[in-house]
Amino acid sequence: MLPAIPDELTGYYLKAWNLGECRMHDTPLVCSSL
Amino acid sequence: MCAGPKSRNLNVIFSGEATLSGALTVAFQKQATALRKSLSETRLLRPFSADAGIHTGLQFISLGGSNAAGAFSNETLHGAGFTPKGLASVKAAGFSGICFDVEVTEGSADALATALEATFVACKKAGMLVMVTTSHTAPYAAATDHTKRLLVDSWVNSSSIDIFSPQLYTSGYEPMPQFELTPCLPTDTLFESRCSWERLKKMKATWVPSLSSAEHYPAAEEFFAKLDIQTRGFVQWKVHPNPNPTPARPLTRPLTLTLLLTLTRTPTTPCCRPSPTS
Repeated sequence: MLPAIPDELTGYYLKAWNLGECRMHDTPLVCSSL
Repeated sequence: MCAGPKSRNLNVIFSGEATLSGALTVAFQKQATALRKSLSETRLLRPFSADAGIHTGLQFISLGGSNAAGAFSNETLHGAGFTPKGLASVKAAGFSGICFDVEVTEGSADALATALEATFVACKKAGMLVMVTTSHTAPYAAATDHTKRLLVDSWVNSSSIDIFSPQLYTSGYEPMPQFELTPCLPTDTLFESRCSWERLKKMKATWVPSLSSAEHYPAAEEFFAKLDIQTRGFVQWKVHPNPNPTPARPLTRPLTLTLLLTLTRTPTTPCCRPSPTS
């Protein structure tokens, strides 16, 4: 079964080379994906 | 910085890699660094799944891009890992879908269009969502203009594309969305092209444009609504939000700078998309 797509998408191209700089519990501005 | 919109329900993990294994390796390595865990520990976590609780929303892994290294061809697609085993490894990492960033193509048009559609079908059979993003209205670099038109028509007729995301930017730092077209014939211009929005309009996929910045969305939504194309959100390219955002308006006449940026774009000298190794 395919994943459901939300009615409205807010997306971001999260650059893989930046993933290493993401830290858990950082501020949303710095690391909103973690 | 990973930044992006503060609240989002879709991440497209972009590496510029052209194969599934290459993109997955980069994603796992960088995620392991972020989590301060080993690569094997990180893989076991299924870090891109909802269960892992690390990322929120749908997670797509991206292939391709504006660099020559991300070029799509019949040959690269056949070696890109879209086998049941390869796709299972993408699902095992927790990804919901695969994003095909088709801006540069190489080789025969017919073989490429057929191979790309077969790849989309394979993804769907494996339970993965399919997203296609391209430079404005078509790939900007291809062996022939026929290739561009054939690919666009193939996408329009495809039942396997879930999300279509035309890129309304060139450098990624534009102050407003660019609605220019990709020329698909020698006589085409950025404003009169056989690869028009009208040609793409019949696409079955959901339209979710790629924007330099989230603040461009009202203008993009309005522009497409006038063409009777409904959009359902956006994907932002730029890392940092504008500290002093002002609502962007649709362009009635393009800027000269915009034209120059588009005309000077080449596959090997992207101004804003670092290579995966940078």
